[in-house]
Amino acid sequence: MKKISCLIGAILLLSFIGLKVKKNIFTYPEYWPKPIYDFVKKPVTEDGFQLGRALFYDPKLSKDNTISCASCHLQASGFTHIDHDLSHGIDGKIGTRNSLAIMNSAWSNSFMWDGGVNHLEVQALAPLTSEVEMAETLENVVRKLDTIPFYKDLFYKAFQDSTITGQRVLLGLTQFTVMLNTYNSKYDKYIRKEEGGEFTEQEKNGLKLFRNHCVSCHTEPLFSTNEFKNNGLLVDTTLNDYGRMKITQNSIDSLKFKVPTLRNIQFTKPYMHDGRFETLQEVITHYTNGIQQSETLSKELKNPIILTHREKVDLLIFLRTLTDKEFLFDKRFSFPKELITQK
Amino acid sequence: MKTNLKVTSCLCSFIFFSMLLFGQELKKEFKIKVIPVFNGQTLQKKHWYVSKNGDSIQFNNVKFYITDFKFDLAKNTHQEIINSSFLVDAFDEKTLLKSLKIPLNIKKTTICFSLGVKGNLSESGALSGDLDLANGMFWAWQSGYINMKIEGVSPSCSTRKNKFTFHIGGFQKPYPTLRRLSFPIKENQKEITLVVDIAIFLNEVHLKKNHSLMIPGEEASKLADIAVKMFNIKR
Repeated sequence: MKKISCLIGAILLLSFIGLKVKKNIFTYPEYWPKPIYDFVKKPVTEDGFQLGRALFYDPKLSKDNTISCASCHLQASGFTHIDHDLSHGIDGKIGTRNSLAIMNSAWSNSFMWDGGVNHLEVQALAPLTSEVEMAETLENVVRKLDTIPFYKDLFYKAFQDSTITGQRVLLGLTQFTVMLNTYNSKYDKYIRKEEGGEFTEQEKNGLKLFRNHCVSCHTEPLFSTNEFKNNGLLVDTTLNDYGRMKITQNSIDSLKFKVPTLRNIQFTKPYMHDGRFETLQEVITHYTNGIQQSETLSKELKNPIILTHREKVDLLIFLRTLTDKEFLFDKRFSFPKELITQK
Repeated sequence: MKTNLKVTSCLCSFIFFSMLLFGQELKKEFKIKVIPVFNGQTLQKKHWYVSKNGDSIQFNNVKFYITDFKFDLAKNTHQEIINSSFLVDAFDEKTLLKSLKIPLNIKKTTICFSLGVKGNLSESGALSGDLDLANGMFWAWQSGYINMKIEGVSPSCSTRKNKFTFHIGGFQKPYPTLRRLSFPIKENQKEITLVVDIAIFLNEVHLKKNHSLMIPGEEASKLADIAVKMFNIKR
């Protein structure tokens, strides 16, 4: 009873003082699964999104003010680091993994190739503090931003308070990255039977082959299951990366890595956790001819995938239908010139 | 019409504030004073101490979380103090005095709290206040709060610059590192002095063999068992 009274009181008070409840601007296709990220607790607002956008593109988040999140996550390549097998950070230091594409993150329950990060809001802390990436501390980022009037304004708009805290920096970044959603590819239009989604016979055959051989791990509509799998790659002895096992300390996770989405795969090269494959042809050849048997190999790959040359081509043609140019060239996600120049 | 609306709004707000005022229990303060020591001596930065193992030691960082305070009361009841998560920095005076708001006239028998942050908060995203990730007490990879940091130098450590680094944390089974403590108190007690003797930890950890830990696991769990012994109440 007391709780109900308080709730009614709170609603009345809000209406009295004229506070506007901010609208959640996050949207997704109605036939998609429900996102994992809790938008009831943390709705995305336009002001929060614009704050996150400025932070995402700002190199001040790195120790020497040279590397921004966007340095390794470029929009035109599906928010990943094109042409770099391993991403590089400040002072040209090289990391140990291929940067992941940032897309449809609201449906992920873990982040990074080994799932070492358990929540979208804390994901940015990893690259920000990594010695080979941005090499900064969150505490120092707060200190730096606190001296910039431009950011004080942005934080005020987003949180109705200009105080900058670590929590608000991370929430701001989340408001931007959680909005990087892609669901307008030719494939999506085909599924929705929309104009521009008319598949050729080759694309239809590619989809059929995909559903026969790939879909159990790269499940539609997100083209990932959020699971960790050993996909039969030989260990690169220059890296000795055993993936998920490092996190769980359990040998059953040896050589397992997160199944990445295949959306916009045409532009997210190179491929695999260590960026060993430059082309999609190489990737397909790996699955048909290159699988290394081991105890932890994914059960879906125990039996060989046999494809003719023509089928490989059709599969490749289908994968290109996952390209969403509206997403890759959406100006709302691009470098915020109009914001940064105001500093 | 507009005037009527304003009058109604004013009336509703008055009712709401009245409900808040009279519906709320009256509270008083219960203070927790934290005193970090080394074998009874006040803990100071860059001061040399010697452990029972003969290790010469200087500390440069000692931080820990004390959380989830609860008072056991007479007649097998208890009073939980919600949102009571505090970060203590042994070398930052302003973090050594904490205050809890507790209801008036409760008959306390025991104070209970945890050393560390409970697991669900390590999976709750970006939090604020003492749990803000900007405090540097959160693992960016293998996400989770670091319950305690003890860092310093000792000639016994065969590491770069003779550094030792103990970051104790991890919430996943089978090696959770959260530890619960409880101490009897008097029913009308208004504060406690929590003495944290770092020597107890360094007497059990041999720096020649054991000088670095920065991941969750079995070793972290063992160190958490040692760390919890450092806490006592001054009578």
